[in-house]
Amino acid sequence: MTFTTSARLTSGLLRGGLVLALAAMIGWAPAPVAAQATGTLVGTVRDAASQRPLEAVQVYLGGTGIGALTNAAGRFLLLNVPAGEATLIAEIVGYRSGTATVTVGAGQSVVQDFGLQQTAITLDEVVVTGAGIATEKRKLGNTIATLDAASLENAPIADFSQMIAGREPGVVALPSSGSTGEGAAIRIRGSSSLSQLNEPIIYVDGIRVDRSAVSLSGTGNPSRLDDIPPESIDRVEILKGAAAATLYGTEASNGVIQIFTKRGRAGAPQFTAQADWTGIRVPTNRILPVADYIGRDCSSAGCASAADVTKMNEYRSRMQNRFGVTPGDFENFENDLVTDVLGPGFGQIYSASVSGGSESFQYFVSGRYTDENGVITTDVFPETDGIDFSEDTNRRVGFTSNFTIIPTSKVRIGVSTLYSDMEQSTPDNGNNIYGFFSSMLMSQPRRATAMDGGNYYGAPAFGTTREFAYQFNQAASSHFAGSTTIGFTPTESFRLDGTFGLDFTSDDRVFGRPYGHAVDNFTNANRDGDRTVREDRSREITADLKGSHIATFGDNFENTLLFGGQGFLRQRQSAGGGGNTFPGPGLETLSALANQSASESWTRVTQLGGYLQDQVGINDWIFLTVGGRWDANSAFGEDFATAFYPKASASIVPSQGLGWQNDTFSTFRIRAALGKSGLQPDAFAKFTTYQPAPSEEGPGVSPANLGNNALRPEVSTEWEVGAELGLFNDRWSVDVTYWDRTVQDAMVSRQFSPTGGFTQQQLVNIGELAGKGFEASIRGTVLQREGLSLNVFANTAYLSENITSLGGAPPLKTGGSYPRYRNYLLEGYAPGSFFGAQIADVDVPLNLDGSCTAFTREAALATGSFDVPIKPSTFKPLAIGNSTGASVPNPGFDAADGSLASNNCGSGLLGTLLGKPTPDFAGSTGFNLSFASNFEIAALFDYKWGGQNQDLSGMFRKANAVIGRNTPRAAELGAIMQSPTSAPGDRLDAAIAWAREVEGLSPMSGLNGIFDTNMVRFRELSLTYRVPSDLVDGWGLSTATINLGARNLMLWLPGSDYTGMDPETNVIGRCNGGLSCNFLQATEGWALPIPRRFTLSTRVTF
Amino acid sequence: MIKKIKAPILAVAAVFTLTGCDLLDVDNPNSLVEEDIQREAAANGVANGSLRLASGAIADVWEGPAVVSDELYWTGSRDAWGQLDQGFIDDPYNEFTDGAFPGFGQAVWMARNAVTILEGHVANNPGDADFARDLARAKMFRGMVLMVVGETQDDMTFSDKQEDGAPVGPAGMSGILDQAIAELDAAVSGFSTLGETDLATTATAIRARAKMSRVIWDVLNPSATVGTAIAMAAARTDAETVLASVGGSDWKYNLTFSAASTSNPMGSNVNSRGENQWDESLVENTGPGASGRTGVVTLGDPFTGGSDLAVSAALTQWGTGTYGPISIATERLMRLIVAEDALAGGNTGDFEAQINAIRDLDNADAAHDYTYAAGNEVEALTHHRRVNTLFMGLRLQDMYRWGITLAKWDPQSAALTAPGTMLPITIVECRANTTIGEANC
Repeated sequence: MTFTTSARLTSGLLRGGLVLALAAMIGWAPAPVAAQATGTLVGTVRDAASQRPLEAVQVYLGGTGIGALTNAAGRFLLLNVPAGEATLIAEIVGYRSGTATVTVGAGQSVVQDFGLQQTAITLDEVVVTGAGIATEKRKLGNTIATLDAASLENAPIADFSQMIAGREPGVVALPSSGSTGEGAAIRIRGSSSLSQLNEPIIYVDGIRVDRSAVSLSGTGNPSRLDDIPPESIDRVEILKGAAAATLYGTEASNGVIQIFTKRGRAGAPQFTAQADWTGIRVPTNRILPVADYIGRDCSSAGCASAADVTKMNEYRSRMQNRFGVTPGDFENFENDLVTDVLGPGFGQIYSASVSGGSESFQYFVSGRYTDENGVITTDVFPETDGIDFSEDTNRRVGFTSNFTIIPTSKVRIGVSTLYSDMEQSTPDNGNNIYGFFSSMLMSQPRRATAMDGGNYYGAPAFGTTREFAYQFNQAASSHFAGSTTIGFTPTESFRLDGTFGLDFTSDDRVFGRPYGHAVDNFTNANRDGDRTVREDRSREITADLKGSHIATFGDNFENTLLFGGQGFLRQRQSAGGGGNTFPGPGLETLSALANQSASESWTRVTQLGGYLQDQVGINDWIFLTVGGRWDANSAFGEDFATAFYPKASASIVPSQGLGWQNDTFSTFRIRAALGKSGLQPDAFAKFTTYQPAPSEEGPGVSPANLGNNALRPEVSTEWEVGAELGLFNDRWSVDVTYWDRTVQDAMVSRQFSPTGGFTQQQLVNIGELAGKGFEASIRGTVLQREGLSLNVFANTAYLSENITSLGGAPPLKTGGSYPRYRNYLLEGYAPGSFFGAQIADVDVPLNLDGSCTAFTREAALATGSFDVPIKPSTFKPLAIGNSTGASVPNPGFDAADGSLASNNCGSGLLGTLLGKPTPDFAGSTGFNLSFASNFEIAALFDYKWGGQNQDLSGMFRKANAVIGRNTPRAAELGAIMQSPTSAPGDRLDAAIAWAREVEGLSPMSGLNGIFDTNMVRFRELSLTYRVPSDLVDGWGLSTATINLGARNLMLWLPGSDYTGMDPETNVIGRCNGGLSCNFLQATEGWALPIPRRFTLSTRVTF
Repeated sequence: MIKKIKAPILAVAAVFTLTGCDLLDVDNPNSLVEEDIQREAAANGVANGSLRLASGAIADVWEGPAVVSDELYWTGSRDAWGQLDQGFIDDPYNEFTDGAFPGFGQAVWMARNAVTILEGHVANNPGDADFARDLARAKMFRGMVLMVVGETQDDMTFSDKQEDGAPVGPAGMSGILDQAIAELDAAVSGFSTLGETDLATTATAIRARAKMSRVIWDVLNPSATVGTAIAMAAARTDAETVLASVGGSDWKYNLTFSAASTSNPMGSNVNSRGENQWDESLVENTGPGASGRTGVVTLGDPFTGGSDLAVSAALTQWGTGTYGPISIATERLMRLIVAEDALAGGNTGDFEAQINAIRDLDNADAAHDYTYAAGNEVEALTHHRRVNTLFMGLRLQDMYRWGITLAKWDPQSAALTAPGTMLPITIVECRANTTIGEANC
């Protein structure tokens, strides 16, 4: 057996391989060879180091049309092999090709095994996304990332969100919370829009699918992308930006993700079955205990009044009954009671698939069932007759099928379907005063009673944790995606493809409280129950027609012409109702409510586009591509002129064309691309509209959308340059890309004067957003010997973004008037930058006399303010301000030179730059170790570096006078300040510490709540054991593996002062666009930390 | 080959040509466009829309001053209510006054827009009673919302879509009340012409309040120069006109709320969310999580010693849900206007009679009637005005004019340092309005 590097293959072989690859992609197999003296070739293809069988390896006889793909056991079978000597070739992306000279006698069956060595560079990998037709990566001037699902089959991933997390530089999956069923938001190269959803568009098998979140109340919002079973995915292709996504036109500027599901292969049915059992546990090490002290509520001097004495005794009695302690006055008490409601969760996944077929018909059918019971537990509470606690569960059933029909050698028909059914239930959660978990974090032990006392966890307001346990958020969703692709190849050089499909989703969501939920007689929130029902239906229709023609001119030039047209129709219907007050227990329908309301909406967006692209290949190592896309979109009305997005790119492989290669520098490619793509607003955004506003005297109307007749798509222009370097015979690879993006005509949700009648923000094309960054990855083989190999990888992505213009629009803040969300869109700063109050850097940062002058310690004591007990609310911190003149771009915010013009007596109190939500660097690193022939250990670490996060729940817990001040530090300082026995100096010191560490919220929004955050997460660890083939054979199986996996094992925050529970959680969860959705990704608020997950899985094929 | 390539290109082109226009022309069934609301068929909807916006906005904007005053106090999670509780009413960044401002501004704009549209219909259809009635309603709603602007704001802008209006300026706010009175004049006239006596009475009652507020405004802003001061007697005249029609019936003109229209933000915040509660000087909230719904009246009647019956009545009107009505004008307020003018004129008999007429509305027995005595008249007036105008958006101004302060007010707060301070133009308007800007907010 001999090995050749791909670089040494002749161009003829490359073309042959490509043809075969294309043939494999379309499911085409050559016709049987006419009867002659023939034999049979069989064998197994394995990874040379790990001895892992390799599936889907192309094994073919050179110079013939005879070939096959290996099955899950790595086995291949070639029938009708002409007798004689031949060259057998085995190829698969990610491995160096294997060749062997075999001699087959008539009627003989010859065994030829391969052990392929891994290669770190994959320029010959065939992709289709963004290229229009199947094309090798080396011909493309832009970045395209590919995820091979086969390489992840042993990774501890349960859904698509986990599948793409941490794999590619520049592609970030944001998990949002640890709530059961929560989907991840996806960002590619940051944000390319200030107002529109910054998620990439998603295609499955050629059709657009719904990428939205199933919006529940708070967090725990499932992602539609998780409807796609990971086991059914063959590979994922990711276009990272406008330069690559031009052919996708309007809506593509956030990138494109295309998912290709598995296809059947000719042969006997091959079955795969897998079972996963997962234990789930929330880490509690960063959840601060609740703390409290007796005397906090005193209103009289020295707590001497009869009312205060009575109140203190009452609280002391409660704590004795509840916790068995009798704290003295102003004595701190701490308890980890939050962990009471965080039990172990459990999940199970069962999946199975079968594939096979004949040369003219192949199939792949799979099914999957998942059931997860989350970590929220209500076991501590006694049940109440007639009403049930909300569940914390997610269940999905999914089916996929792919059928390939080849009626003639020129026609290929593919039919793909996906069906998913999901049920999700969570208690109220997130940044919500009725949240189950948040109510635990608000606990104040002095208020706690025995269970029958009605306030087991010491709720200060709104309701008890037990009452909130009855509040439910439920979703029942169905998702169907079906597509048909017809390929017609009238000649070898000309090809036509048509893809038609429908993606349909149906969400029924119910939120509410049952009648009688106020079991502790505490909450006043609709004590007789309430219910809200929403039913959403979404249809997305894709029609895609394209043609390609490949022409060669002599031996040196190849021209590929691509043309096509697309149509998309997206329609959403929503209807619902809600109300409150059931007449009695047991009723659970809207019609039973005393107060009812209803709503309905309907939108449709149609997009029509066409594109043309031409690629010239010179000597098979220089590739130049130019193209363009035209789009029209109903969001702009029928009078809107077509938008045009051009592109150009170049790819040069000097190592091939100029022979710049040796054993050390084995492959070298440089590439550059320039392109545009767009983003459109939602339907009807340009029109001035009035909405229904029924009054008590009859139907009415009120202003809705201000309108903007000049509204048009925002346009991203991006260029990128990059290079790939293969080292040490391609055992190592280095891939670097620099990109630069400018979004012009950026749509800004501008707030016009509310007294002008229209309070909704109006989209206007006045912004400009600049972004740039680089992505680098390195991967390679450290060790490779028989039975032992170690592969490592590391990648990083640097991101820099800046709003270069808001077109004169006022700054925009997340959350509207809600002051605690501090992310702004502000000219000259990164989108979503944090602005807020910052404590003055003086010895005594207290505004003792309202004049905003800093006191010395002596002067502060001399005021006498600290001679007597003080409450935290009675003094004001001294914060710096940034009052700048009206002539600067952002009056009231940080001056460009960072100068501070005033303290908190001036405007600009909330205008200090405190950070930005997107980290400078994000990436991952990991390794894969194979040993003892049948074992593998793989690990993945994620990291983010150089950003800031807001600990909103911590700010409430520290500073809020009613529901907070229950962290150990807040209680400690509060007790010192309020205790009559404290010395004045101690009170002053406590007040200073309070100002520097604890004070926050209104009117000091942002103070002591936004921190530098660097994060490293031990994301994945897996140990895989492949049962030896001799054992497996005895069981009648092809393969069997046992896998132990873990996710989110550890979290480190090196060099960070972040105080929150988990910097990966945020207040919005998976969401559907808008300012807050886009830029609150680094604001943690009452969400469950990301749980650790431990999975045992087994997989067999037969 | 060229022919083969041409075919699909032509097919794509054909798709564009034949279907493109229709596909891109998508109807919007969710809302109306500008020309739709200008149609005569939409006249009633336009007037109703004005009422709907005014109802929600007034209930929303009143909550801030109510928290500053001794009507509500903060018990929830959001500190900006606490700021108001401490008397910081002038912070343009306060999330609740800032949150209420856009709806308030929209209600003002819609009120003007409705009048403009309906004036057009009336001009085009002289003699049409339906249009005339809707126009009179629109004028009444506009008068009402302008009256609330004059009562609760220290400054205001009046923009039109993308045309920013400059702030009126603090001195100019009396002119807003004058505009309100002028609109109400037109409403009264319109209803009278149509024979709509009940509506005419309502508009007259609102005008009485507006005139009284204009008088109070002059008291709180003694250096104001815009407009002509109104005599208290003018308010009294209107009040007496109303009382002549509805006296003794405990008549009220309420803005009402329901699931079919919208909820009352104050009711939601107090009764459901528990963010604010009735001040403990009025009601003691019983139970661990109780609010006004289970409260016990704590305020005593200065003349009976028992719990105050008017507070009980207000508590009943407030209700337990999120749809409790708010009163704009009531018989009680009319009598208070008459009583105050009588007292100012030295007619203590009339003053006593009006106070007792109010007490009679709560079924106070004759044994507990108020009897005038030199020195008790101030307490009689201030107490009865407080308990009979609860949550009518008048208390804070009354506290200012009578020099009432609260222990909860921070020494540095505007309520204490600058009595008379009402709501500012908030940051959302400052930023968006090019005539102001954040730096000048």
